[in-house]
Amino acid sequence: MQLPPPSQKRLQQRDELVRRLRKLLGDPDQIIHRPEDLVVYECDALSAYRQQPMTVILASSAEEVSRVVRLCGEFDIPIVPWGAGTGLSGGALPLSDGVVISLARMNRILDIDLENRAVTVEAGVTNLAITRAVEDRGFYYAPDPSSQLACTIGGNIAENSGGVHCLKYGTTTNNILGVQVVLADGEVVDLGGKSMDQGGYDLLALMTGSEGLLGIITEATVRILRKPESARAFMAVFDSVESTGQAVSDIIASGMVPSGMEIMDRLSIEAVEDFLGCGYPRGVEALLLVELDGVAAEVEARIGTLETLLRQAGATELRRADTEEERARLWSGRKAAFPAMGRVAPDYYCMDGTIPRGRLPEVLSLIQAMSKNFGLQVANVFHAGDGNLHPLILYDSNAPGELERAESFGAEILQLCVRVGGVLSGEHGIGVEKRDLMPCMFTDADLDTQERVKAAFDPRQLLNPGKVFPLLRRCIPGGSMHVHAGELPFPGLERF
Amino acid sequence: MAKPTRSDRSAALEAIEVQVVEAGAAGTPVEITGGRTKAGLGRRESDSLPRLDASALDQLVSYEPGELVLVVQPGMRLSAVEELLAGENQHLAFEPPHWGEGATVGGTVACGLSGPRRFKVGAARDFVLGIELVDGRGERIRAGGRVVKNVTGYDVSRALTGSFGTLGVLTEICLKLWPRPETQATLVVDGCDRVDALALMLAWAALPLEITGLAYLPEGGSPVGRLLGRIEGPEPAVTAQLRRLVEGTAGSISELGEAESAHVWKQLRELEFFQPGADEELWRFSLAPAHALRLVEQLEAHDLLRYGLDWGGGQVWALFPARVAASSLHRIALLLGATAWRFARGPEDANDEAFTPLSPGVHRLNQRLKQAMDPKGIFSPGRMYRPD
Repeated sequence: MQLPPPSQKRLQQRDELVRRLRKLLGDPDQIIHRPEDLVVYECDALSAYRQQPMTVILASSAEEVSRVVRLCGEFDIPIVPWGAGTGLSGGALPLSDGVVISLARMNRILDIDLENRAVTVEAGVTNLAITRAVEDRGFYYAPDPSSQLACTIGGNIAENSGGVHCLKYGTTTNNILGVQVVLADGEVVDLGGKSMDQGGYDLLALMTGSEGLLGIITEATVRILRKPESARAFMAVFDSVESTGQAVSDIIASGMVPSGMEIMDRLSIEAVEDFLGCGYPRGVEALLLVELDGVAAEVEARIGTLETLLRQAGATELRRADTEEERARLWSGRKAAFPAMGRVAPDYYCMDGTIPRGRLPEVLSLIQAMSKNFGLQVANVFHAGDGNLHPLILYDSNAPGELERAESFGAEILQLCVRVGGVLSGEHGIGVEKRDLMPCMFTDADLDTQERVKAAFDPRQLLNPGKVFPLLRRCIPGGSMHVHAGELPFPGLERF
Repeated sequence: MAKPTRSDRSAALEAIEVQVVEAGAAGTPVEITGGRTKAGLGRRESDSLPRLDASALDQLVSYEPGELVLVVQPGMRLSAVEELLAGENQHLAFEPPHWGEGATVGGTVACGLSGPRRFKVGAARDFVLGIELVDGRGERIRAGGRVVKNVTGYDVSRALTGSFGTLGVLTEICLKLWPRPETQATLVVDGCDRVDALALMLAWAALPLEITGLAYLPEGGSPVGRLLGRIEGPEPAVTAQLRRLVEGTAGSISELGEAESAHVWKQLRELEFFQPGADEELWRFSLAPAHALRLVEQLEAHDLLRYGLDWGGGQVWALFPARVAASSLHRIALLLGATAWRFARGPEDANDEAFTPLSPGVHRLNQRLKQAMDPKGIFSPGRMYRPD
């Protein structure tokens, strides 16, 4: 994995840049530049890749972001926008010759407009804080990435984050009305607003999921929804992952759209039971969690159909949560799946491909076969409703070669996803992690178009360079090279 | 793994590529057309732009009901698609308007048009998962995918949605589908004062109910009108919700059963209530729903003849005498954070101020995106805004 090589010229300008930033910002606490303080900003949640930036700016307003961006432009210094650092694809990985602009201090809720069902917040407000601000009046913000307690709305928009309810409620892009963005030249623009349409091209769509490459989001107006009056959860046990996948297809084909459908395989179920003891059955191959929500009368009308479908698809056991407490308990295991895996193996690598639902059984059996070939266990928990897989590859970073094997395994899984008609990333983004796999999905012409879009917004390539686009345009089999500390063929080169 | 290729070829597709390349070489702009049912949208610089007719690209590419995904070529008729989907109890939930028999999927996506259900389920752009297009260089490119959850590259598919044929020729479109609600019914409140009507629409839209249509049609020249609220879902749930709404509502209330309900929303979607007469012009405003009447009051000071509210107040249809000062209406829209479309009165109408102007910064980004996708400016360069 390589980033654009750091520029010596930029590195030499560091002290002068910091001096100018101090003058610009006034409050010295807004500038972090001592190595011991920069440790926090070495990596996002894809912690295999680490690198310290020259400095981190804690911005307190769009105006400040704009001024810092202009100053960086003057020095020709690249910028990495930073929310909470919870991203899983290295999208916020700093550049050693760049500046990180953190939006975390911009955490004010600016406007709650229940009439128009819109909330306007600064970019550093967390996903969950939006719901917290309106839940006493019966509303919520729908996208719910698992890191919602910590992740910021700005980061959610940059990554087009999902969650477990996307089949019914969409991803971030379907739940945003407008953004304020600082462009690469420092100009501040508003895209969209409280109306349902914006004039001109849908730049809001381009900005959503742009991974910090097109602009720095400083403010967002999101759509809030009324909390459904009823939510009922079901757990069905199956003797194969294949029949679980079939049940999912049958449910969709029957004309209902559950708010969530999650599959867990044997390894995940056992791990979760060991970790939490939430009452999942042991010794079973797979379980499916289904949740119906909406108008009480509609949910009640669908329960019978759902239960029949699950039994017909081969469910050996069926549990229905009749109370809110039971519902929370059913979900608690799924929500603990990732931490539970942390106890099974020293490390795991979480993948994020999306496939057409109908290909689930086939893809899962191929992943099992790969697991044998690579000699690494894989646990499967995934958003079955929308085909978003999260295979967790278990490995031990202290065992020589295992991390590299895990990465190769991961890359093969993602290529498989593309081969069956899916995509490289459902909700974690491309970042640095999957950058070099982009040519597996896109032709040179496709990628040229994307790069032209980038250039339309950021002609000098100062916003988050080295992310999303492959440095080399070939589909690298076996995925990315990973370089572990001390094992570099050329230790002097900047790699991570 | 092999790199992806675009090897499928058809005569219709090749003809389009050739026409784009030739137009680029000659520096002659073209106008991309399909069923010609949306020709009244946008500016018309000159009616002599040669047409690039995409209607021969009319094939179904794939339909997998279990995936809730449809892939079609842009020239496929909207009516054919709807018939196909109805056979599997599915539909295009954004309820696209037809405005004529020839309406195509390509035109719907290119114009980014959505019907009455939009405020509940999302717009055309929310249902576009991926596209293939020929850009201004004659290159065939693909963006997005065929799955709901996707963050692989910039969302160029959505950027093409509502670009009015100015960024590229759509050659394939992948749409997200939705199960068709089992049934529907509409609650009607007649003689409803407009202030009460908007208040009810805002309150109902915020209820945890499956209300999928909210419109208000004033009776000509009177301060009262008819409020319509559509509920969809399984029969018992629709009945239960209707009952709840009726209980809390005063006035002259009636109900429309499934067929009548479907009919009235189709009339609304097809603009049957807002057909401009001779010497009238049609406008459409999109804004924050709660501001709808503030807009109407200001439009009344500018010779507003008739109007109606859709999307729970978020979309206002308005009729004016022909030659009303377009810039004044756009200025009103801007002040309310709205965006407006003026519909051309006919093929002779240049419709110079078809869309509300953008802020200078956003306008510049629009131009740069146009330049990126269509560097020679061959796709209707003046369709949306006057070229600088």
